[in-house]
Amino acid sequence: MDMTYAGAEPKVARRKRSAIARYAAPYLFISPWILGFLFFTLGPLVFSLTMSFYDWPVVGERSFVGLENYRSMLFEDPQFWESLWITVKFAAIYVPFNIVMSFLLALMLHHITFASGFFRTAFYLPSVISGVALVTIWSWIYSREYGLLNFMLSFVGIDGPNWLGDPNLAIVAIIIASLWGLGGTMLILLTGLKAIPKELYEAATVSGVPGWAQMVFITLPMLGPMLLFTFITSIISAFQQLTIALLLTKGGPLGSTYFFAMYIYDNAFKYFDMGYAAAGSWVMFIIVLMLSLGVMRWSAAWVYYEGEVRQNDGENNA
Amino acid sequence: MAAIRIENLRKGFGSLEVLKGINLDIADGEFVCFLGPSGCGKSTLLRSIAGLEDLDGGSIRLGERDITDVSSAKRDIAMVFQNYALYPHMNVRKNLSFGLALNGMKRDEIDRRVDNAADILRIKELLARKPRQLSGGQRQRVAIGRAIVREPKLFLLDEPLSNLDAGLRVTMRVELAALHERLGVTMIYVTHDQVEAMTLSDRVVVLDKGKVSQFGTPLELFYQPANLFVAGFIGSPRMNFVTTEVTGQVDTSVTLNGGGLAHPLKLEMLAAAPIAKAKSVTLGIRPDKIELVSAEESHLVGDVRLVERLGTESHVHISLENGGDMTAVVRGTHPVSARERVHLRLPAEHCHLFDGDGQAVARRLDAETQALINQEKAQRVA
Repeated sequence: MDMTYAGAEPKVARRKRSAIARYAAPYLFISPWILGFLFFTLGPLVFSLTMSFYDWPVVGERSFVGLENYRSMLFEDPQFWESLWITVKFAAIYVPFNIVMSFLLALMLHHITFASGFFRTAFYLPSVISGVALVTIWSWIYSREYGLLNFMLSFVGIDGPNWLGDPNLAIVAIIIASLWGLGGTMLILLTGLKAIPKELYEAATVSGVPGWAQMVFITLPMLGPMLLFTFITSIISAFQQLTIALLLTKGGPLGSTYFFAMYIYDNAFKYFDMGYAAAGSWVMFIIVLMLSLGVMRWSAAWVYYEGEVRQNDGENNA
Repeated sequence: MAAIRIENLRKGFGSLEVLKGINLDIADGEFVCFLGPSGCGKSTLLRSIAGLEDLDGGSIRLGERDITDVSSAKRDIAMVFQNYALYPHMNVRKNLSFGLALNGMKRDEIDRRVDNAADILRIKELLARKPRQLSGGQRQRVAIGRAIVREPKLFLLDEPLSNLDAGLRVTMRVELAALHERLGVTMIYVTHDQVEAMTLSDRVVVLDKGKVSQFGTPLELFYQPANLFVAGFIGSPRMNFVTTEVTGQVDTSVTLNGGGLAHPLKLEMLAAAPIAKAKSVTLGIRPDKIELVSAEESHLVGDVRLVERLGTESHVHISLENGGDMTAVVRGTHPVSARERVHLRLPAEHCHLFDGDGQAVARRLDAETQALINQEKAQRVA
């Protein structure tokens, strides 16, 4: 008996150790990501939320003000509403254009047989160019006297306008420049198109379903999840529009391109009112969240997921 | 009329020639299988008939109409795909009616056709479900239903059962045969499974490397294979082949000896076969026709490599003394065992003879087999 007991003890200890190792191992493997998330995402998030309840100058005394930052922003700051309105206008044009143009490009690249690799790269490349380089290129294109755009317009007898100096045109110029980066969206939709089994189209063709109907009743529904994803990410990126406006027009002329993100940026780094800027960020977060939730809810009517079984699908789901 | 006539059909992909001049005459109401190994061109041939491939040459007639250049939609055909190709976002009813609705058919007529197809295929209770809520067999039924509602002149089925498990495949096979009987429409069925082809078809087209190797009734293919390819492809376990030589020929009787054969063998052919003496030929025999006998009666000698006991029968794999392998099928209770020396007799009436080019020399069949083949042909005509 004694011998058996003596022999069993290290075995139990070994088993205990290995159980801990087994339990901890997965967490150790993902710990770099967890630490990164805690310190660089969740931490700043909580920090900015705290900040938004404070009068928080970069230098000097901080004081807790409760919801004062939010109250004055919503009820006393006309610039908040103006910048929000400009952002909404921008999003309302940019989002549909981004999706429709990406879809059309993806469709073209999907069907193209000649040099498809070249065209795919050519259309995708602008989306990986850094914002600053992009803006530099576009400032050359839009330049009143030496700009490429007006130079080309002159060939058809049009005296090109001052793209960046006209309050009505500046936002259009920014929308066009932003659309230059639609390569990412295009690539997602192209991947989606390639994933649709070609037999679905062949079955439709043999059944006499015309091409337009195949597009409407097969392609678009099959792309539903991708379209929803690009829709939401487009909304988010539209609300976050900063780099192009900041570098191309600096919010001008006459504040016509003064986006909401720029309003937050100015409060933080021009007026050094960090608490106010943090409150602005949270307002933006809530707006984007509400919009996204709205889109998700609406999408239930038109987005189909292969893996999902809905309550009202079929009479008998057994 | 929905007979099909295919003349000199050619199709290639780049430099690869897939169909090398196909000629076929398929009668109205016939059930024909395209059978062959992977890459033989059977699916391409079916897709060409469906109008899903651009042809390099040749013509296709459906009934009186030349449909070679007619668009797929206007060919009056329906096709069932290997992976069903159901629209995943539409329920079964919509899957069935989608094509009809877009062709401007009236609601009443669509409902009548959908309900009729659902009745035939027993899928009425599934009409509101999405494809993902169906089993493999149910999906297959819906895919067939989508073809039925079109009331086409010609059904094309591209390996429709290959995604189903073995048991379901047998059930669906029986259902397909019943469906053909009920609808009486011409059906073309692509498969690489010879059991499917043999059990379902009125006639089978055996394809090899883009050419029709033989076109005949299942029993014709089995008892009178036109060449070495068909002989080796049809039947399981496959036919055994022995290379030998013609040593004598008097009228319709041919004497073989040498090569793989240990003793001379005399075959009776259908006509005085023009085989030159001493020419190398191939002798074929089905495994179940080989007899294990005593040394004096045997044509071949070998050692048993492996015995596979399947119950009612056993498969005996033999390494021949003169080189080469052979498989014999014996009764399940036969005491033969591995490493045993065996003597094999090849009954002349069951031997097939192939000339130097691999083409069969027509042989005389026994009365019973001939009667069976004639009966099968008569049924097909009826």
